[in-house]
Amino acid sequence: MQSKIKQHLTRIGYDCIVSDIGGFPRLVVNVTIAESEIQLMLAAEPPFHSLPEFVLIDADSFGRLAHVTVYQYSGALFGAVCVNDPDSLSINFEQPQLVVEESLKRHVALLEMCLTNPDWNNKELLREFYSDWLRKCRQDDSKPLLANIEKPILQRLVVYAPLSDKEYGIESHYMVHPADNSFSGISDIHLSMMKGNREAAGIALVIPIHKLTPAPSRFDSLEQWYIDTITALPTTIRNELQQKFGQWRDTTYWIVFTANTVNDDRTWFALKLVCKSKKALPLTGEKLKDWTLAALPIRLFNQESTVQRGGGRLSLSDKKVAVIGVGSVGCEIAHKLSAAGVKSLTLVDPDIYEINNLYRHVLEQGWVGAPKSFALSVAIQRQFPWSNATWYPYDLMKFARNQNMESYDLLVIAIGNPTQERLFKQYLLDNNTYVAVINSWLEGFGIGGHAVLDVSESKGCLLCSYVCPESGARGLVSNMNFIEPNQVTMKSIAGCGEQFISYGAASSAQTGVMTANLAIRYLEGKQTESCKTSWKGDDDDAVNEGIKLTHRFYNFKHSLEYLPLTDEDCDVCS
Amino acid sequence: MSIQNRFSKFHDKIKLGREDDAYREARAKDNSILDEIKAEFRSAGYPIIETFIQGSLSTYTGIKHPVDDFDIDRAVVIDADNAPDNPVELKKLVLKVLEKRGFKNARVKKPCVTADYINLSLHIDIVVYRKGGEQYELAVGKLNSNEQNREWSPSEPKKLIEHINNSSLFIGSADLKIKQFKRLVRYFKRWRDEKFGQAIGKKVFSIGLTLMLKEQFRPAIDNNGKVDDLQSLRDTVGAIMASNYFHWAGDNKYKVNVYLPVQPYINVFENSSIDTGTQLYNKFKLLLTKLDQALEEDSLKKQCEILQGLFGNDFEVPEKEQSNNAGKVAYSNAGVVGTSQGA
Ligand SMILES: [Zn+2]
Repeated sequence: MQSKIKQHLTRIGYDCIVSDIGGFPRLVVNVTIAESEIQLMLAAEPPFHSLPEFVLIDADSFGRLAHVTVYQYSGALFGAVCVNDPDSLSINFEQPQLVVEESLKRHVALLEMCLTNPDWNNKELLREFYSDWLRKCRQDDSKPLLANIEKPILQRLVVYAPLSDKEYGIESHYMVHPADNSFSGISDIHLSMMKGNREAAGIALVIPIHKLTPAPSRFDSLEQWYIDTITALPTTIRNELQQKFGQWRDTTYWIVFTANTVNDDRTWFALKLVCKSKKALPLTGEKLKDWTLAALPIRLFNQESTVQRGGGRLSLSDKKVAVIGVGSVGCEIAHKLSAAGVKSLTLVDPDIYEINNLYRHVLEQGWVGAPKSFALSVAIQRQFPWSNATWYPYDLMKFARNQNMESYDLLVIAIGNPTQERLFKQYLLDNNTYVAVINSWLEGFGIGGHAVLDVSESKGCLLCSYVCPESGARGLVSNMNFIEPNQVTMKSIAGCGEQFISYGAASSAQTGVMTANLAIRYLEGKQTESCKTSWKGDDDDAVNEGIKLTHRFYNFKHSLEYLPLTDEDCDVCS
Repeated sequence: MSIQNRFSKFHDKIKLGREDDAYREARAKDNSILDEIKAEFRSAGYPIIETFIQGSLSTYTGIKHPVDDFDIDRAVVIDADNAPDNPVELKKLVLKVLEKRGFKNARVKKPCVTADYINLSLHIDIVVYRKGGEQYELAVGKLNSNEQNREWSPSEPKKLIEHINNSSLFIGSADLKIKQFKRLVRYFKRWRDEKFGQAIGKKVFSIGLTLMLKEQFRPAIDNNGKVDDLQSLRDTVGAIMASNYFHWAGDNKYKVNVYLPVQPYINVFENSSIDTGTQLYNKFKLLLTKLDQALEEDSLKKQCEILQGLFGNDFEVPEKEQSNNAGKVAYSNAGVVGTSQGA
């Protein structure tokens, strides 16, 4: 196989030899980049299930290169070149010579950039600062220091020790004291501080670096890097360090550094300094001699970074949203809105969580018997530390009469009750109340789900979706429905009051996610007009039950698209 | 407001439904007269084994007529084994009952016995069948018909009703389509009543129009299930004109032929004059032109004016172009509708 690859590379013009390295015959390719002769050794054997790596021979003779990690092997220094994100490539493992060719091209192209463009090389080194830093960390320190830090300014914070009996969870980590008081009062982060059972392990100093240099390489001394970095700090910061913290004596310091890397991206990384006796923070090489240094992995969490890292949006954090009806559809909507960064969420539902809700709801068994709205508000705050979810055990109309609807940016109604929904719409009309409303519902048998966004100032309203398509009069059922009205679609196991619509959690989740997306679009200002959207499922189950489906179902080809809502026969809109 | 909405209002005005007084009165009268006929037949030795309603009441295509009587078509059936050879004997029994009850103009016609109520604008047609196995035979003959002119004529009255009500051949959305078809039948009948003089209008038989419509019906429903009766009407009239119901009779005259799809498979317009056929042909042609004009028209007001010209004043024309609906909301006329909505 090696000779086949060699043949192929030679045929297409590469200078290849097989040479004995570390007691094995290795394929080595000679290339010239910017007048430098470089040798790349193929470090993998077929079959290739990821891009085969080439390593740079005599890696130390080219200076510090971005994306190249130098290591020792068989008495020589080699550079591992990182050319890509391994998981996103689909490898043609049936044609290994082509895979090697492609990999070689990528290695050469990357090294060419590093060697010919020092600016780019330096930027890349800064960009990968944290991953280089992690290489300096001891492998047994796998749990990162959790640091709740809002601002990259010089400051002193407390570090709490982990609880020894905790294997996982927030309390199993060293944690820098939250500087943030915007947490939900029942989030783990808040509670773990409040309980007072965590010991202070020492203090952390946050030191902003103004001009970042590349992270120390594997062979560089951490001590030297620390002294260089402290020395390079602006005089003001050094003085402040000296004055504020020079008097303090301790055996352990956590130093949390922060700096901009490239394009205003900010990196955070940590060092732990330990000394046998209590001493002031060492700021010179002489003083540092008594201290042991260790690089630490760190996970910074604050609202900004955590919400954004999760795909949420800070622009939603000041929006006020109510979800009315937190059954199987509403709970998904509430969950996804919280995940998107909506903090002020009001959950409204008069129902109690029952054991037969378990298989189509997000709440755990422990909540059986609790008001759904209350239970969900707790569950959401437990997952999302900055959530302020509140709750009312009300039905829609009671909520409407007890609260100021216009104080909300958006109301999402997921009660699956067309009578109450139309009644509420009429209530808003009668009272000249202007508030954006989404009505969301699903139909049984996995046939589909719908959402209507009614924005007061734009064309189209909820009642447009109730206009009877035959007569143009106000209808009693939504004209978006996929199931014909007046059929028995409820199943009954236990008789009166125990009927339910047959659908699975996937249907309600699908409807919830569709609705949450619409809500987020509206809150972000991307959807300003009233609109409607539906998803259409398969009709197998409905057909098996002899359920008749609507003309719209059979002709609907616009799942998840946002369609105009307005109907020319709507008496409200005309 | 859409043109469909206007059609819908028009339809509400002309349709004769269960909730209408005329309908309820007719059914009450019909019931009481039926009881007497049953008694009369029983004592004559011909017990009635089945009765049913025929005509527009059985196909839910009845309309109100501003001047003319309202028809009720009642069929009574006796056992064939028990039936007299002379069908007119039974029709005489019916006549006797009607006369006894003081009806106006009670008389035996070839296919039925007919009479008018004195104080109601209600016209009653009673037809007699005998039934052997599954076969119905109609009592044909007048009071003075000789043997050649009276017979038990094989007939399939129930199959005809089924044919008109049948939606099983519509591919998809059958309910919407059969409902649209029936609205079209009513529009056609009202158009006929408006456009033909009383004499000829009576000869443009409802069953003939209904059968043409059924055969050539072109539904118009958009993907959202919104129906478009104007388009459907135009397409259906176009299809009727493009098929072979009208036969050239020279000199710009036409004979119209529409065959029953069931026994006795006769031409409904067999005995109609060339004049009836020609008038129907010409008026259909004009109808098509007007419907095309209405479709072309952008202004709702002008569309309504054209349609009012076709269907009469029950088709209302809005006073302003965009009539303001405020204050006169059209509510659903259903009290409760079962929905599939949940969450
Ligand atoms: Zn509307």
